[in-house]
Amino acid sequence: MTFRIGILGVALGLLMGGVSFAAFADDAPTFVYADAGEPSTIDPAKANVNWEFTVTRNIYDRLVDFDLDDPSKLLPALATEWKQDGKDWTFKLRDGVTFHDGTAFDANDVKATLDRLLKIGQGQSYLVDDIASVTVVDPKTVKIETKAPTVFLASNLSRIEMLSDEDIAKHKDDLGQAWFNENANGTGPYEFVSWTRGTQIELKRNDKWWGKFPDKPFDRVLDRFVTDGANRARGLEGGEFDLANFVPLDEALRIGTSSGFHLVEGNNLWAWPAIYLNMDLAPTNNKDFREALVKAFDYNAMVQSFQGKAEVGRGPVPSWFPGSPEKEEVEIKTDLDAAKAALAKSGLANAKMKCSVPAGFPEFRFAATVLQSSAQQLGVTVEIEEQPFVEAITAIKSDKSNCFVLGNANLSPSDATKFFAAHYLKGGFYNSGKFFDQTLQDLVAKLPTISDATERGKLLKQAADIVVDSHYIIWTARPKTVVPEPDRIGGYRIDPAEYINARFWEMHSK
Amino acid sequence: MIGFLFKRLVWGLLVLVAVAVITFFLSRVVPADPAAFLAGQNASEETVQRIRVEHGLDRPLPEQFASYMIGLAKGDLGESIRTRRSVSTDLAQYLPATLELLVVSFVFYLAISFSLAVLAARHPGGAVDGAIRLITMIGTGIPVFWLGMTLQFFFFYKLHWLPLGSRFPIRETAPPLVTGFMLVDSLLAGSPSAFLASLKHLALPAATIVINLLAVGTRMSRAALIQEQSRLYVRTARGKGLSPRRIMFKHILRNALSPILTATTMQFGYMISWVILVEVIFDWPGIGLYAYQSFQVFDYSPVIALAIVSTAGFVIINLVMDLLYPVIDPRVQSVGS
Amino acid sequence: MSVSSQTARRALKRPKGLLLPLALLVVAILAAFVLLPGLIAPHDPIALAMADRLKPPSLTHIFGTDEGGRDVFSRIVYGTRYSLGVAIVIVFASALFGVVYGAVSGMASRGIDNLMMRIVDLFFGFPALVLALAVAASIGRGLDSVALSLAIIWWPGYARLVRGEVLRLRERPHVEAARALGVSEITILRRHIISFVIQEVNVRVTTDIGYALVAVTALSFLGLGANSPTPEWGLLIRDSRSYFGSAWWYLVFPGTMIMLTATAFSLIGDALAARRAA
Repeated sequence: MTFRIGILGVALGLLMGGVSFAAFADDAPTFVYADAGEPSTIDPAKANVNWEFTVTRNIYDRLVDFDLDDPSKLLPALATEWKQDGKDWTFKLRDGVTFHDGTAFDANDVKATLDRLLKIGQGQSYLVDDIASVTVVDPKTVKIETKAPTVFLASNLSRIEMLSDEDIAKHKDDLGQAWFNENANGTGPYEFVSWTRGTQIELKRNDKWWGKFPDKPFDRVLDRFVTDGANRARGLEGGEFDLANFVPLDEALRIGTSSGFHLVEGNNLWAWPAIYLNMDLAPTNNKDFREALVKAFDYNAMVQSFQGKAEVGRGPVPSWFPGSPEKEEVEIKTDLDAAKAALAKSGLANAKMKCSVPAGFPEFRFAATVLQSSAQQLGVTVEIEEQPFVEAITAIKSDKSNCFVLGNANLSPSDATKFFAAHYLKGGFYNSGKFFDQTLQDLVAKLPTISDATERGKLLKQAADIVVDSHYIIWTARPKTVVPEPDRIGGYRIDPAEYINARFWEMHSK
Repeated sequence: MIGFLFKRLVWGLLVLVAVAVITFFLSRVVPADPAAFLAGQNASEETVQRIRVEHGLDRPLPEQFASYMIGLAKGDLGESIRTRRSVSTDLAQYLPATLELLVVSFVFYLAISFSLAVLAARHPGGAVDGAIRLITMIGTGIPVFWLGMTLQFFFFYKLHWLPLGSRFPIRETAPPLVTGFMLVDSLLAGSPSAFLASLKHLALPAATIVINLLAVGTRMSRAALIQEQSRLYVRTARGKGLSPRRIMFKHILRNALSPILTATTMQFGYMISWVILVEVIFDWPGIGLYAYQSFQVFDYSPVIALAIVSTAGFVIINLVMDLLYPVIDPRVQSVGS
Repeated sequence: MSVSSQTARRALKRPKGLLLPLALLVVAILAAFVLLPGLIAPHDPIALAMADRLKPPSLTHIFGTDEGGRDVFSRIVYGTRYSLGVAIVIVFASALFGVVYGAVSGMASRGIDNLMMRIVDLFFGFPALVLALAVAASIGRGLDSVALSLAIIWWPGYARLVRGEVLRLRERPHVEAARALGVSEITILRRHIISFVIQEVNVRVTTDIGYALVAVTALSFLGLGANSPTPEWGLLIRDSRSYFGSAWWYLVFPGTMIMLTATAFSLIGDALAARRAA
C-alpha cells in the first residue's frame, strides 16, 4: 500500500512540477494533410502510390513541370530550356539551385539520378525507359539520348524527381536503396524533417527554394496517414485536417457545399472505374459475350451514383487529354436488345463469371454491383470478390477470375502511349485481362516518333478504336474529381496526372 | 516450484513454435506475390523476378521455412515488405501504443466491472442488479467496430469533446520518446497538459474495448461475490460485528478476485482481436493496425509476428496468473508444494 | 442447504418480468426473417433502384435506402440468413466438436488429457482475427472462410467445459460405485455427458450465438467475410462507412439489429441458466 502511495506521490509531483513547463504546442502555421496511406518508401525511384508521391513531389523538383490547366504545355523547373533533335534531347539547367543540405544542383545530379532510376527499374522508370544514355555536356547542360526518337521525353520527365549525385555516391553499395527509403534531400519547396511510423511525415518549408511561394504559405506540413476514408472525411469536416485525399464522393459533395467549405473540381485520369475482362478465361474469352456485357451495362446507374458529376466514356482516352480522339468516337450506351443478340450469338446463355474487385474503393465495388445487376438481366451470373489490390490483380492475371475493376491510371501528362503500354500491350502491368493485338503493339511503338500532332492524333484514334472494338474494357463512367477545401485555406488545384496530391507550395492560409 | 516454472516455460516455448509453424504455412498458401508489391505497379517482370530472388521468395517453401525458423530462433522476426524494415524494429515501435491501450483498458475494465459487480451483488435480484446485467449484456452485444464509430460520431463529430483518433493532438509536438507510452513520456517530460491530451486520445478506444468486455467480467464478479457472501466465514464475520464495508473489501473481494482474473485471461485472444478492430477505427498506431495493413499487401512476416507476440502475451499472462493465485487467493496453495 | 446459500441461488436466477418475453419476441421475428424473408421484406434486396438513392427513412422505406437505392430494411431482413445463419453454424459446429473432444480428453489417461488440453490452450491465445486473415487469404474471402476460422477459435471453450464436467463426474461416489459393480465407466459417463450437454451446453450455445454474430459481422466489416452485394449485416455497416455523414440510417439500423439480436440471445441464455440453477 505504501508503495502505491509512493507512485502516486511521484506522479502528482511530476504533474505539479510540470505546470511551469511550457506546453508542447507549436505556433508555426501548420498544414495538416490526411493521406490515404503510409508510404512504403520515400525513394523517388520507387514511389508508386499517391501517398508516396505526396511526399516526394514536395521534397524534390523535376526538370520540367506541366501546366495543370493544360497538360500539353510544359513549364520550366530545374531545366529552363530544352529541345529535341531526333534521338537527342538537350536540357539547360537552372542556375543557383541548391539541395536542402546545401550542395549545388548541376548536370551530374541529373545523370546520376536517371542512371540510378533506370538501374532500379521501379517506380516511374517506365515513363523514361526509352532513354539510352545520359551525358553531362557541362555543369549546366545535360544531353539525353533515346533509343528511338520520342516527342514525349520532356513531358514524361515532368514526373521524374532529381536527387543529389553526392547522396547516390555516398550510399552506392545498394544503389542507396536503404538510405533513400527513409531519408530525403531534394531541391524542392519542402524539406524532410521526420517520419513517425504509423502516424505522420513532417516537412518544413524551404525558404531558399528557387520557386515562388504564395502569400501566407505554410511553414510546417504534416502528412498524416489516415487509412480509413470515413475518418478522413470526418477529420476534414471537424477541422482536424486541412485537406484530405480520397474523400468518398457523397461526403466530399456534402462537406464541400456546407458552410466553411468550398468545392474544387477537376479532371483526372485516374478516377474512373473501368472493368477489365479476362481475354483468356471462359466465358469472357468470347468476344460476343464481352460485347453483351458492354452493351448490357447500366451506365446511367453509374452516373447517378456519382450524383451526375460524371460522363460516360467512349474509349480509353478522356476528352480533356491532349490530342484525345474522344469526340470522334461513337457514344457507348446501354442497349439491352443488342446485348441479348450478342449473347445469343455467343451461345453462352446462363454463363457464370467471377469478378475481383480491389477493396477499399466504394466506386469500384459499386461498378461491380452494377455489372452484376446488368448481367442478371441477360441471365448471366456475376460473383464478386473484394480483395486487397495485389491479390485481386493476381487473381485475374492467373486466370482465377474473369474480371477486374481498376481506376485507370495514366501518370504521364500528355503521353498516351505509356498508358496504352501499361494497359493494353503485352506484359503491361495493368493489362490484367491479357489483351493482345499486334496492330496496336506496332501503332503504340510508332506514335512517339511522329512529330506532327495531327498525324499522331490519327494514329491515337486508330489505337483507341482497336481497344473499343475488342470489348476488352467496360468504361463504366468518368467522374470529375471533387475535393472539399476549407474556406480558411486556398491554393488547391487538381493534378490530372497525379490525382489529388497536394502541391503544398501552392497552399496558403487566408 | 522451479520445476513447475520450468515445465510451463518449456510448454510455452513449444506453443510459440507451433503458432509460428501454423501461421507460416497458412500465410504461404496465399495466391499473391509480395515481390510484385515491392516492385510496384508498372515494374517489368524482370524487375519483379530480381526482387523475388533478392528476398529469397523464389526458393522452395521448405527452404524458406527453414531459414525463417532459424532466424526466429535467433530472435529475428523477418523483414517487413511494406515498411522495408525488420519486423522487430517495427514491433518495438508499434508495441508500446498497443500495450498502453491494453493496460489502460484493462485497468478500467477491472475497476468498472468490479464496481458494477459490487453494486449488483449488494441486492441480488434487485432493480440495480437487473439494470446492470442488461446494460453490460447490451454492451457485449454491440459490435466493437460499430460501437467505436458511434462513440466517434457523438464525442468527436457532434460534441467536439474528444479527438477522432491517433495518440496525440496533431498540431502539437508529442513529448520526447522515452518509453513509447504517451502517458509515461508526458509525465517524464513534466507536462501535465500532454498527459491530459494523451489521456483524451485514449478515452474512446479504451472505452470501446471496456464496454465490449464488461458483461463477462461483471457477470463473473457478481456470481463470485454472491457465492462468497453466502459462505460461512462471512456470516461469522458479521456475527463478530465487523462492518459490512470491511467484510466486503477485506474478505469477499479478495476471494472473488481469482475467478474473475481467470475469466479475464481467457478473454485475451478476443481482446487482441478487438484491439485490431479498435486500432483500425481510431487510427491507433499499434501492432493491430500494423498487422492489418501488412496483411492488406500480403506482407507475411508482421502477421506471423503478431500471432507469436500475442500468443506469447497469453502464455506469460497465464504463467503470472498461476504464480499470483496463491497470493491473491489464500485458499489456493502455492503451486508445486 | 443453508438459508443464505438458498438466497444466493435464487439471486443467481436470471431475468424475469418483461425482458425474457421481449427477447423471445426478437428471436421469433428473426426466425421469421430467416424462414420467410420474401413475405416480410417489402422490396428486392439486390436489384438497384438508382432513383431512390440514399433516401432517409419514410413510409415506403422504413429504414431508408442505400447507395444503390435498395431498401435497407429489406436488406436487413434478407441478411439475417447470412449473418445469423453463419453464427448458428459456427456455434453448433464448434459445440459438437468441442463436446466430443472434451469428453475424450476427460476420459483419457492423464498424459493424453494433458496433451489435449495444452492444444486447447494454444487456441485460446491465438488471435481470432489473425487466423481469419490467414484463412480468408488461403481459401478466399467469403462467409465459408469466416465460418471455418471462427469455428476453429470457438470449439476450445466447449472442450474445456465438458472436460471439466467429466473430471468432476469421475470423482463422484456413485460413478465409483457403478465402476465397482462392473458397469463400464464409459457407459456411465456417456449417459451423464449427454444429460450435461442438454442441460449446460445449450445455455452456452444460446449465449454464444449472439457473440458469434458479433464476430461474424466484425470479420465482414474488415472485408474478410461476405462479398457485395450480399446483404450481410457487417458488410452493410462496412459499405455505409462511405456515407457516414450523408446517410445515418444506413449505419444505424444494421448495427442496432446486431445489438438487439446478440442481446436477445444473451437474455435467453441467461434464462436457461437460471432454469437450470433452480
